[in-house]
Amino acid sequence: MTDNLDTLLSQPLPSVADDGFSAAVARRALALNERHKLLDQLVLLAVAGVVLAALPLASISAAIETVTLSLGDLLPVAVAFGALMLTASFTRLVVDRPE
Amino acid sequence: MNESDLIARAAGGDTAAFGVLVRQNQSQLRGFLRRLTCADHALADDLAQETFLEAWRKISQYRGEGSFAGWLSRIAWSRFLMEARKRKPELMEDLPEQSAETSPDTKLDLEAAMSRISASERAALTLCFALGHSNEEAAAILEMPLGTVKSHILRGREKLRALLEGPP
Repeated sequence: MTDNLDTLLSQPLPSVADDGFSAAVARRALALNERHKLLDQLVLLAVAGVVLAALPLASISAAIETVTLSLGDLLPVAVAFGALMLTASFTRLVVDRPE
Repeated sequence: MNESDLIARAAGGDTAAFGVLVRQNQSQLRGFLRRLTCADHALADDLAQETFLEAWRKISQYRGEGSFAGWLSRIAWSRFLMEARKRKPELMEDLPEQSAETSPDTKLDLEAAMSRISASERAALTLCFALGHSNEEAAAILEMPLGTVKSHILRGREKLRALLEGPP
């Protein structure tokens, strides 16, 4: 009986037809993924919102304005900017020249 | 594409690769769970779905120690234990000698006899015989000491033999 029992026990389990099971699992896995992505984006948005709310935006824009204006008043910066514009125009002229 | 490639791709978020892994393993896993749940197909399929979804969430933690099918069986066993403890504790224990469905002089077939031994014995016997795992692999899957698995196998076989032979 022992041999018989071992033979019985060693028989492979009956095969189970898929019948859409794998597709259903894959769909749920995809939905799980989407949910996680959405959650990540919401967390990122919330963090960005908190950071923006905490930043002294008025002071930062005032500082940027001051620096930009003072740069515009400096002669070396004006000369450099002019040289840059001239170079760009010249390059464009060379590139666009008909063969 | 072989199994380790599929696992690597699934760990990178490729649901199609994971779908292939599910297709390759669903029959064995559902068969194992059907045996554990004493042929409650609906419960077995729910547990199989939960097992695969947990595997999907944790696939990056799979280190390739032991087979992927063994790793899935381990998740399935822990899901089964949670469910059985919560809702169906009768699945865990041996059935009494005489139940309403069968008289003591009935000779049982293997599946019916399996449903009358404890879940740990069913699991150990199925893993080591029908699914071809070694005793050590079964111990890892069931998270039990090796000696405990061996005694589940021994006791389970004795009970099955008695149930299958019927009364003298």
